[in-house]
Amino acid sequence: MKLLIVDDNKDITTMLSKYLSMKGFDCTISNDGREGMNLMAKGLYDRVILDMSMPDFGGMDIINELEKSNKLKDNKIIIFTASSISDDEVSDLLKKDGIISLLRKPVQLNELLSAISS
Amino acid sequence: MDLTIDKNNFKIENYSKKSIEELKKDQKSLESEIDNLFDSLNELIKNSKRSLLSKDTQQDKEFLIKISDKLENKINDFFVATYEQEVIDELGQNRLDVESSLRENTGVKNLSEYFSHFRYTSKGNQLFDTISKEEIEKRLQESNDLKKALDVSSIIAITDKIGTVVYVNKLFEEVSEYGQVELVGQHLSLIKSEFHPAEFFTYLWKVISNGFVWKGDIKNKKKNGNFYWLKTTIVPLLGKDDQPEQYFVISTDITKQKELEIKLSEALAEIRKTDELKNEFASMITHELKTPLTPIRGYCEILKDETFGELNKDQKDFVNTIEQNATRLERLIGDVLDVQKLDMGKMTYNKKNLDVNEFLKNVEKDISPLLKEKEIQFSLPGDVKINIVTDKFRLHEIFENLIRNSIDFVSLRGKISVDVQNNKNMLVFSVHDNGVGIPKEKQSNIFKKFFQGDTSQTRKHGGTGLGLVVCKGLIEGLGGKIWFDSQEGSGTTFYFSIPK
Repeated sequence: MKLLIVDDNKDITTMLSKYLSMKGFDCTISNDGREGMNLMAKGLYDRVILDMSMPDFGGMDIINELEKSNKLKDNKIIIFTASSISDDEVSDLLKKDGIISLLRKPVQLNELLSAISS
Repeated sequence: MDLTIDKNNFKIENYSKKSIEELKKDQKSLESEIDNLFDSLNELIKNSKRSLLSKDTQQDKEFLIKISDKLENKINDFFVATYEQEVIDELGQNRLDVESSLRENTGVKNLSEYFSHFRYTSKGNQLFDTISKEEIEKRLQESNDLKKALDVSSIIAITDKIGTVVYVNKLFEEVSEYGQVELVGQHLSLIKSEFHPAEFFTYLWKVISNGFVWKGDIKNKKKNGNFYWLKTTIVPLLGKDDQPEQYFVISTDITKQKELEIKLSEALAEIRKTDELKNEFASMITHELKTPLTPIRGYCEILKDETFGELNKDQKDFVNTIEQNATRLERLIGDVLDVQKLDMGKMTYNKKNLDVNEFLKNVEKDISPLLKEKEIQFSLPGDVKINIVTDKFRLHEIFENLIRNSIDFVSLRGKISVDVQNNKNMLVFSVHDNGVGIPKEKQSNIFKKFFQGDTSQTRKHGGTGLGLVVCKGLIEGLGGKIWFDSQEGSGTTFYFSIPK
């Protein structure tokens, strides 16, 4: 299973890729929002783990851009965020075709694992 | 004795639109009608064997007064209701003739007074009915006194019907810094500050030109260019046709109050801005604190997973300690955020149908690792077949906080039990423990921020000091209440109600 991890924090992307690689996933890392979006636009990944707060171009910008170009639905995105998002915002995000779940940092890795597998 | 005056002998019409010639003619016919009336009266009186001209007896006097009253009313109706002031002046001598002939014939003594009242007011009939000359003079005096009092206490201007100043008082001159000579003859807009939009004055004129009083605050400009605020009342003075002829502008200087108001609203805006900053800061800090916790917690989990190699006992302990402290930090961040949301009234609740039995089992499952650590005997109520509508996640948070609290304060292998009572509109949950209890003198403080029964316990028990504050806030937010019962040395029971 091919995974894309988009997060500006290198400690987080390294930790996730080490763990998930050990669990047998093929992980690609992007520490930049625009680069991450370009990779997502190709639709090559089975799951995308997407951070919301990134400098310059955040998760919400990526979602909006992909929605405009009608490419959001080609992805299966797990939002992985430390930002305080209200319940309403969460349910709005989950309504979008292409977003499958939302996890709040710091999450237990086995929870992330089950979100990926579901 | 009753006296009836035939209406046919006393025709009264509306004369207001008639020419003076016609009115004179009408007056003549009125006079002859009055003559006729007296003839009939005399006839009547003769018939009843009384003489109109003999005024000796008391009875006759009373009778004559009665007639005069009735006559006065009729004449009053005739003159007052129909004649304009100038018409009356035009009648001049004729009016006096009517007056004297009436007095001669009837002995009506106050007829001349009636005519002087007539000169005081264009609506003399109303006044005449109720007010004597003395009363009018008294009222005029009072009105003069009032004017004097108003003059020294208020800023006054009088304008004509298009707003040209006809009078200003001394206070007006002082506040505007214009002299009376500079103002009279000028339009009052001379003192306009251009602060108010055009619609402000359009509306003001609409109100007053329709004869209504306008009240409001106006910012004006002094001669030297400085601004001042007046709390103003504009009273239209209505003419005969009920149209405003003049405007009475009465004001008080509220420049100082306005300056204070402006300062106050600026201060409020500043406070709001600070609040927004505080919110932004709280959400920023949450993000910044949670982000580094993610790799810390993640690597602990990876190490414990032993995919990268087995750990010895010491190493396992170290990792566990790191993980526990990371978890504690995470809880603290969560609690701080919750308290901030509760303080700001920004906590949101998502109420849905909830199976209490299933819910409590989930709580037990989630908390069981902590219970196991201290080998706690934990019990839930038997099968509870109740469904309620509430926020599942907030209720979970409440239980987790209360049970964690109990875990912190019971000894190894202590007892914690959860119970529920089904009351009328409420479910009353309880979390009981056989821990150290809360000292009596500390009981009133336990719902205060960063308070623990014993401050030295903070470290020992790893609590954040915010758990109960959050619980109270959430329970009240869900429409319930929290209370407790505690015996030092034998345990504590927390109770809380949640609407069904």
